[in-house]
Amino acid sequence: MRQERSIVICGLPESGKTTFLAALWHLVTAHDVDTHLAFDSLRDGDQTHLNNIVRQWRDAKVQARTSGEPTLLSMNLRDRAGTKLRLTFPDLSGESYRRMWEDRDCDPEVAKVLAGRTGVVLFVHADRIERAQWVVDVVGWMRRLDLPLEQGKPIKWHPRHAPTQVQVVDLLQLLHRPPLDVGPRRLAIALSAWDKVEAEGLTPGAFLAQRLPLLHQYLEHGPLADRWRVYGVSAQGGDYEPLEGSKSQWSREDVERARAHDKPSDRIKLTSDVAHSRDLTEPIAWLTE
Amino acid sequence: MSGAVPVTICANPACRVAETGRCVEGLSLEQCSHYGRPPIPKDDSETTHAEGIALSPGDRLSLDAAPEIMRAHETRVIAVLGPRDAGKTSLIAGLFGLFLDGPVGGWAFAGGRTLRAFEIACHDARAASKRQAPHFERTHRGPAGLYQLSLSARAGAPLVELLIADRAGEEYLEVTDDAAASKDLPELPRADVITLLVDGKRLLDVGARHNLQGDLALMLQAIHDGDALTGRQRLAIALTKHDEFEGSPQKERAERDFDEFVARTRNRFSASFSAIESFRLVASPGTDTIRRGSGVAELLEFWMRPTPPAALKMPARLVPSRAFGRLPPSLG
Repeated sequence: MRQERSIVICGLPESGKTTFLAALWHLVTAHDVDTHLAFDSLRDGDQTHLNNIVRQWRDAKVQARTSGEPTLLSMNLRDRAGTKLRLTFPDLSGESYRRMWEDRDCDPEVAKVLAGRTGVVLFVHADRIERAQWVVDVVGWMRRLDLPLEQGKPIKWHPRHAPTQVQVVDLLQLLHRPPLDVGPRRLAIALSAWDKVEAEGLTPGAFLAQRLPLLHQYLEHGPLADRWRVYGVSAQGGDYEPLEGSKSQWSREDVERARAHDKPSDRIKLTSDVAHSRDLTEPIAWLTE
Repeated sequence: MSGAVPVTICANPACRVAETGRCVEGLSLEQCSHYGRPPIPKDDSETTHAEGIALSPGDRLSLDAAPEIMRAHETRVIAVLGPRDAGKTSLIAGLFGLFLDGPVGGWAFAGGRTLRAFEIACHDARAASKRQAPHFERTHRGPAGLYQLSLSARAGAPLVELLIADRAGEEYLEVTDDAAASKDLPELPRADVITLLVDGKRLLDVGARHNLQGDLALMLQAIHDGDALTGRQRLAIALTKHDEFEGSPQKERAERDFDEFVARTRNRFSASFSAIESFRLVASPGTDTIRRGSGVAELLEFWMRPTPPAALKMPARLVPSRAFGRLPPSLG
């Protein structure tokens, strides 16, 4: 008998959701790392999307952006006690979540797939956190550095101007309140691209408290209380080759280093406040236990 | 050589870089992996913005929302009074700005239904506004709105809701002409703390200071005479824009004026409030040489103090006129 477990993997656009899924699928199908949840079978499922994204990932190429209707992905796994699990999760575009903050509504299809999930993994790109910057501070720095002040017409408010942590807290609140709320859930915060910030020497918990203090307060004092954990997730170990025609900057060295690993699983690193491992299934095992 | 024509295309159909020059993701154009690539043709079958399920708007709450919040949790209602441009929005934005950096005083952020409204209040003081000096949009006339924060004194402690009523300063000033107009300000009798803002910039102005103090004193008198005070409320007298005092030749005189105003208010209204305290605030300074949020944590502590419950008014006991009626029930 297979137990059904379902989780939501959410986050703003380009926060690392698809890369995580690709690395997770590689990890469980490669059988070269001892994981909390292990691969069981390919029965009763369509793995086309997972196989497509894992090929990009193994080639160390950036994933195309998730768009369109939500896709329900599934993996047949088993835990260390041998219990068979069918893990399902919707692969939703980051735009679906951005729409909740910006337009204050939710696509009914998205609401449908969010309903009934037992746990949430929330991705925040650790190297792209937009903080609140105040005019007086910026003007002060510019004056001290003797740099010219940017002239121009003031810009009207847009929801996208909000600091990352405000958008993320509001997203969590929306997920935990009617009409989307379906009861208590566990939450794993995944600080993606952890390899880009780990030189700061902070644990994921300390990083969260220092760089995302509003989110940290909300987690400590809000309705989630002791039902959350934070992880640093390095699911690709550096820059990947961008899509053709992209102008984004990337490190060829990073790509070559990733490809040079004899085992692609070696590109993966999961950091908690107490340990490091390659086991990306650990947060999922905790969410679904 | 002719100048290169800037690339203004993006593979993301939602991006309007050609019009705005900005990446829809908020990234620099160099960082964006979609910028410079031709737009992906839209699949007609794709529902990019179907009729959605409405979520909580995140804007200021109406006063009607207060009773439900008050029933669910211990709540502090704060009425912030002051003439136009006294620094109300600046105080609200400054308080939220402090929570973005961590707990304020002994209080931590545990949630908020009006994050969007707080963000709008902050915007013109943020670098994203492209302004060269902070600006705060004044509150427009119309029904009062509530900013809401759920706060917690420590992990696991019960939440205390903070509701800050926001109303145009002109409407509070109008009660000085007609005290009965206090009835149209329902946030006042419900308030745990009435916060009177004394505009520091106007106090420095020798020509404006007398009218400022006169108007504020009359405002308090009007809400007193309009029966908006319950006797259980606390009064915070907050000197705003205190950073303007630095370097001003009027500094000492203005400090003295404020202290004397506080003393006069205490003398006049001590029986009308359960406590009266004064604060000097730099909620959103005009330069980065002065600490942001100075005095705000102390004001928040005052706001969050418990309000004593209203004394129950027992009906006066009627003493029966006949001796038989005055016998204890067991003997009657």
